[in-house]
Amino acid sequence: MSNNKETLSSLIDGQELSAQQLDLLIAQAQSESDFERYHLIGDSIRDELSPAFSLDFASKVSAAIALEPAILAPKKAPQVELVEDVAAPKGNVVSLFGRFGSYGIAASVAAVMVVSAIQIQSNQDVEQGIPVLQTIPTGGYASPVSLQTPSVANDVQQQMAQKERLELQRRMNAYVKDHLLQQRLKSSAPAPQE
Amino acid sequence: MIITRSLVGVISLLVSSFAMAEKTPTDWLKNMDLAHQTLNFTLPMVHLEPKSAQTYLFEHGVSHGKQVVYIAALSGPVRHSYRVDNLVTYMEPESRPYTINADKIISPSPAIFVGKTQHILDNYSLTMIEKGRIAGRVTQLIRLKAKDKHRFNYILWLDLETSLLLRYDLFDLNNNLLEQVQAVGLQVSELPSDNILKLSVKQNDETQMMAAVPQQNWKFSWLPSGFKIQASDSHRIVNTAQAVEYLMLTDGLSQVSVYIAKAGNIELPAKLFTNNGIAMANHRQGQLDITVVGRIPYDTAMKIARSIQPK
Repeated sequence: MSNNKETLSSLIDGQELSAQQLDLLIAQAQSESDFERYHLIGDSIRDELSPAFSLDFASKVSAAIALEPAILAPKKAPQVELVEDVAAPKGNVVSLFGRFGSYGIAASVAAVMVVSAIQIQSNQDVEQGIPVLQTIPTGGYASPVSLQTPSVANDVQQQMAQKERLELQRRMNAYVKDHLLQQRLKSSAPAPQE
Repeated sequence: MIITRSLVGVISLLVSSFAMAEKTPTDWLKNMDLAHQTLNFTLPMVHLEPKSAQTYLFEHGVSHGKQVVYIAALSGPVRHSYRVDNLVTYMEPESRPYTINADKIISPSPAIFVGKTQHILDNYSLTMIEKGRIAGRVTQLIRLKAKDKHRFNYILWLDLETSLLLRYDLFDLNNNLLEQVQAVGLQVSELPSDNILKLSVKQNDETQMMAAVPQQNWKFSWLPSGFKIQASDSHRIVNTAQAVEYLMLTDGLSQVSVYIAKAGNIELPAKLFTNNGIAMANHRQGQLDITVVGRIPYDTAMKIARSIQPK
């Protein structure tokens, strides 16, 4: 069997085989799936996977998310440009999540944003001090948040630190927004027992 | 017989006049409750928070046997919400309108103390202070001083004539003003407004939110007095889509969110505040990140974060 796999592998790699070896391979059902698998591995190594493959992956993710308890019956909400979008990971998962509308609701709950510096151990340049979250009123106009970035742009370590800071800001904003959203969603629960 | 009757009359008159003279803070709260549930009134108001001011219109009425509350922002993007009995609908530019089965609108509102008398009496000591003037009307000030250090303090301004709440201020433990809702006018009328009439007969066909499936994986070894678990579920955080286990705590007036998530690569700062008094406490416990968010003193939030444990 392992000998067969070896010959199969050499076939895929483009080596010439004898007629006898080929007959042997064709005769075995196992080699058919091996053949497919080896090609797949080879494709992925060469980064030549067809788009159909990742599409399938995306639909699986979306199916998995659909199984999550939905907060809101799906209705596409117009998405507002949030500051967090800057740091949001690009990919199917996040945009699919947007389908459920909570993204849009969250934006309306409150534009709460972190604007001040957050200290990160790895970055010595960040000013020290108590981190402060600042809010922008629900009804007001949320202006884009600008970070006080270090001036030396080509310093790789500083760029990393900035990326971490953006990631932190995004997570903190998300928690505060979710808290405000949950207050609405959970106000339906019965009052606590006395 | 007649003598007995008149005697009863005199006594009841005496009792009521005595009560009038000695109207306690509890009486005030009860009268406020009643006024906010029965009167037809329109109340334009200002909502102030540090570095922000927004104007709203608040309307209340009873029509076709239904209680209707309407709150609308008067400047900026059109946002309004309304409640017809136990259905609250939010209409905002960023999302489709949606409806929640709830008994109150979550928004700046003079009605946040309505129906909370028992919670208030449990957690605060009440003092009548002086009289004041709001929206051109004479008001009675009542201070709500927290009995412990686990919640913030309020001052209420109640209309002498109608008992409606015309203003409240929220202060942190250092007496910094965190929030103020103040009426700038008050119109009480015999009949509900056209708007209230319209809402009371309106068919509600907005998307209705489903109730969450509660999870019961966690308990607290300590909670500040008066706080109970109001709700729980597992959901994904907005924007980051991070999966969390969630619990909501409440003392009747403030809500506190508790999040349990898998520890991330970067640890969030332990102590954070918004400038309107929302504290965020982050605590790493083994492989878990516990995050507590709410308008409560930071130390209390951190203590809650440290006292969560699996059931």
